[in-house]
Amino acid sequence: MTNLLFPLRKRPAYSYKDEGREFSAFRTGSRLHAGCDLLAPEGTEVLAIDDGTVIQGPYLFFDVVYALEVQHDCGFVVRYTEIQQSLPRGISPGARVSRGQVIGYVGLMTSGSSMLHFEMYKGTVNGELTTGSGPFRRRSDLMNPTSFLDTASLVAPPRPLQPGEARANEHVSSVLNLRSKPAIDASIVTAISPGTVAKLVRSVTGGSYTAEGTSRSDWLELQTSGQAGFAAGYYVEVGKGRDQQGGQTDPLGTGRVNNHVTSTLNLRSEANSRSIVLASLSPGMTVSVMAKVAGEAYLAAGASRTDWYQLQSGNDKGFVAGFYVDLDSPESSQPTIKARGTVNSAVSSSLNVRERPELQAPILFTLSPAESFEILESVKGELYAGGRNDWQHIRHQDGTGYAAGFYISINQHDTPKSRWDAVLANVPTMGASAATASQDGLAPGIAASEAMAESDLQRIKLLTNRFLTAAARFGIPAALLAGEASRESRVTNVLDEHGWSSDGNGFGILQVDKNFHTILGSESPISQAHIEQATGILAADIDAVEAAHPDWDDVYILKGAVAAYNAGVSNVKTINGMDIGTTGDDYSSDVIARARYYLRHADLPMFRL
Amino acid sequence: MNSVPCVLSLLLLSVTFAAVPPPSGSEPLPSLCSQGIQRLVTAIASTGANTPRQRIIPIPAGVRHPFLPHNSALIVILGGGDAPASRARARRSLDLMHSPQLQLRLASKLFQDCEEIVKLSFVLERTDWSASFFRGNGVPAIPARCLDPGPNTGKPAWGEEICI
Repeated sequence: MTNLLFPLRKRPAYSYKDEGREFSAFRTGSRLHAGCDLLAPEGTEVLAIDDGTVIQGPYLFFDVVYALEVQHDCGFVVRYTEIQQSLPRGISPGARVSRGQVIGYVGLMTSGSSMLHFEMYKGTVNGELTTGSGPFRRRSDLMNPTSFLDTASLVAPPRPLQPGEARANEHVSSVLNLRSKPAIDASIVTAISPGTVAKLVRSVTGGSYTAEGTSRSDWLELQTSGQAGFAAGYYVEVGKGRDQQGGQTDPLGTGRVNNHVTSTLNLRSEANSRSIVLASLSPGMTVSVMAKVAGEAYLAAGASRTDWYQLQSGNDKGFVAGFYVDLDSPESSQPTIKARGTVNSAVSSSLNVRERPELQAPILFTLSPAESFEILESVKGELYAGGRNDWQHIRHQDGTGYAAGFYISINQHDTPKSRWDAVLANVPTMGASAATASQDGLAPGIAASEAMAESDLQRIKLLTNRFLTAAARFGIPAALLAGEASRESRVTNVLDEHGWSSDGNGFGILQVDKNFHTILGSESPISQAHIEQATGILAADIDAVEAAHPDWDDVYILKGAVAAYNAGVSNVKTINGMDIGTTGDDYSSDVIARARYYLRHADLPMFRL
Repeated sequence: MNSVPCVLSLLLLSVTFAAVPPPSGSEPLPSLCSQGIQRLVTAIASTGANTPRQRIIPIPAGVRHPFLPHNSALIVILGGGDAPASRARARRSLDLMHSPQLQLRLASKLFQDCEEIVKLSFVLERTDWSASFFRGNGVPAIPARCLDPGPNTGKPAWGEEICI
């Protein structure tokens, strides 16, 4: 069996092979247990066993815990279940995940138990994982994951803490509470999940507490995600001083991948966008920032910048553009926005948002069903209906406050896959020009673009997964990539046997020009590396057009980026004239018309998810 | 499977409510309906199983019975067998989990004793194995109707539970 990664950072203390936790153990209703239960404290990070794509989730799986389904590149489908509803930002259907990436957190059941229920499927059958027949009530390709779990590798252990850093130690069974004062009865400000690195502010003597039968009063003030609070010292691991760590260089501190990152942030071998990608970092991920360096200029928020950070994430050391990382320092103490939430259907009238995560705390404002807001932090608070104690610290136009997590859907309903998905359908277009349409003996217009797109449809259908993967990675509509492929190469039909254009300058179905770029994925004109390189170029064009025309509506920014993909950003000067100077003087209009054909085609529903 | 269910012996076992003290190490009983819960714990102890914890939780709005005035659910944790000293008791816990008829009788007695409790769940410690019963209409207790877990299942209604 392929050696994959164990889905937790360490093996459970309790066996997953007996005592009712094993695969095929009896369950209520004449059922058999369809997975293995990996006992772990609430909040434990759940890791992807391999690269893959999120299929669906989170959805309610059992009791008050949730499930996430991932199609892994090795072929297996895994249902990671009994996890929290709240997922790391960016983990949603269609998102790409990397081997070892944190994709969820172990949830807490009303019985007080917490575990990862791990279900594995061969991936040889399509359809829902749960079916109504057989003792497992599962799809026919369900497999016993025991031998996989036995041989799976553990991810590298957490990195050593640096001076000034701290995290929950092995005494913490669920989460480490940070309180408003160094006292056990003080209110909880926030909580730290196992593995999360916080900044150590100071040590103080506070109220007494008992640990292992001994009375103690040592407390530490910690800071995480812009929030500070006090933790009992018995439960905290603190980074040792330089003399105890062999004279390592002090880092600048910890930081987080910020919310400017819509999919993942590339950790590169050098401080430039051409160097090797060592790892992909998710928004919200904690990193250790080693140094600030000057590197290749890049464009962000309409300005040219050269600031890069050298940082470490796990065992990987590399460079990222500074715009996309927030240091956990007092001057950057704005909390990281983790996700968006929506008042869910369990609320019939209104949802109270309170001053503290307590049922009797003053109501600050109320939210209506389906109303959405930002999630600032998941915290533990007072027990409420269903035996739950999860509350969400939220931000709404009326202010910030706490709402019970049971009544909130996170990363669902109102969160588009990207800003541009919703835009594509509304981009104005005239379709193909006479010059372009005549290639297929057609009259100019949208109908010509659609006819050409239709003739390429079968080849597009074979490549949908590759477009979707690239789309999820860069936040670009997959249908737009298909439209580009139709226009650029008729989806390989006009390329030579090596994947090059007739003039020898453009490579692949999306025609990356060798005069301006180092060609990636040259082993095949439909390689994932080529498609993602081209998608990255288009994503950069979007940023550049937006920076050049900050007053344009999104529909024109997207259309301008398409025009720039053909003729450069400098050619995109006016809304009405952006196609003048492009091939056939119709490039963006024709590509948009083809993309919209694919967007609404009945055979391509995955482009509309 | 590592254990062979002793369903037959449990079916023959009469549920007694003698004053058998709960095993040492158990947490204090919930204050709500403590006498009825004590009788339930004692009956479970008479089977050889133990119940280290019990929890009372409110049933969320939307899942409650439309007419019953109370909405408290009792979760009974049945001791697992991970510690060598508790393996014998754990076998009895597994036996009880394998015996829906005994569970039904225990639930019926509890609902008769405790008007406030309308749902009872047996959960095997350190597993996701649970079996639930609801206060019935005309009969003391009815087993939960199992729903299959999936993205389209939604939240169970009164009398239903997702079974994995």
